[in-house]
Amino acid sequence: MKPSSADIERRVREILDDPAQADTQLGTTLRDLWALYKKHLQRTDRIVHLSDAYQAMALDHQRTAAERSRKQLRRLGRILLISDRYQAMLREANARLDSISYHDGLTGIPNRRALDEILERAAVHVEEGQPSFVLAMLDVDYFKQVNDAHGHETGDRVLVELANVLAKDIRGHDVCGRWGGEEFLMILPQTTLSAATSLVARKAEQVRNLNMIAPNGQPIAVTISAGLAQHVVGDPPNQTLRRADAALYLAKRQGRNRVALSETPETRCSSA
Amino acid sequence: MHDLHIPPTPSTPQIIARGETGQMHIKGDAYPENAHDLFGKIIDWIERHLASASAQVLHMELELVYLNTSSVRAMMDIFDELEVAHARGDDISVVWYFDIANSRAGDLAQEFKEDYTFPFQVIGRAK
Repeated sequence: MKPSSADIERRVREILDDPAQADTQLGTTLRDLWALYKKHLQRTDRIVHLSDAYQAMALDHQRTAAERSRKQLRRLGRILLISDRYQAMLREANARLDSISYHDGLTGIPNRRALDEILERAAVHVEEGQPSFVLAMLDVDYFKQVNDAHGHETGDRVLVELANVLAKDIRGHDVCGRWGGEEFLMILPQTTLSAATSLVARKAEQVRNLNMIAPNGQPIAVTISAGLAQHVVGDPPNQTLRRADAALYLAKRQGRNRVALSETPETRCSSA
Repeated sequence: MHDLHIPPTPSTPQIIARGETGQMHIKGDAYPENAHDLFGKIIDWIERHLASASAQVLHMELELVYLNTSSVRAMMDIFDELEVAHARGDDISVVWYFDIANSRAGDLAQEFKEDYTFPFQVIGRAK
């Protein structure tokens, strides 16, 4: 059986403690060897201790790194979430602004900016081969008198009522917007001048039949004049606008409360 | 202790901080091109302010409406800084005001608040 280390130690101690061995070669050699053995033991202890410490440190480091990265991930997730919501908020605000910038604040129908863009697109569609469109420029007759007699608030109310009538029950791709002041513009794609004329005449009739009452109880009767122009392929949209405007001027000059048509080049040719 | 005053621009908020009272006010939208530059100044100021022996007080008032991603992150950095200061006993508080007409801005402020233990109020006001 192998002797235990305690057993060996006891036997070595006995030899080292034996005065008879104090000065023998064996005694001194054993003493030196014993001292060396003790030193090595100590060194081994320290190495193990240091190594354990390093291992603990590395483990700890690993744990904190994992913890840190978990935290960072969670934080990143929250940043993304909050940021996404801000973006959504901004998008909604944008959509609202977009809608505001294309609609008349008083009447809620498309404004001049919107009409300009729709008109440009309509002209492009005609260039691409679609049937032509008709522009109808409408103006309230003697609107200044409404304002003067009943005040601007009533005048505004009249404009809102008019916008409702004009924009109601028109075909899906027809557009009626507020061109400015008491002027309205209708853009009627894929329409002939005669079909557009009957539509506008019908609208003018509906306007005449509006039973509006001023705050003082007086009835307000309004009529509209309209100028219509069929877009000619190749013309700039502004040219068609000018022709509709000129026709409106004609309707006004002929006594208002009526619809006037702009001659198309074909009718000009045929009449020549 | 010095004050900090950064005037607003269309894409950055107004920042006013007073060293004497420890009041900081940030107001406006924040979508700076260089968030590090802007918020770096704020964080520097906070660090120096809280490190100065006389002042361990910081009361922050926020009226932020829109924040881009970098700014969201920078605000978290700031709040982290405040959380550390709060943990060591400094007098820290944040009040985040939002327009009650825009309740989502309030929700977002709440979202920020979640992780922190210092006094953090989210208050809706009529504009």
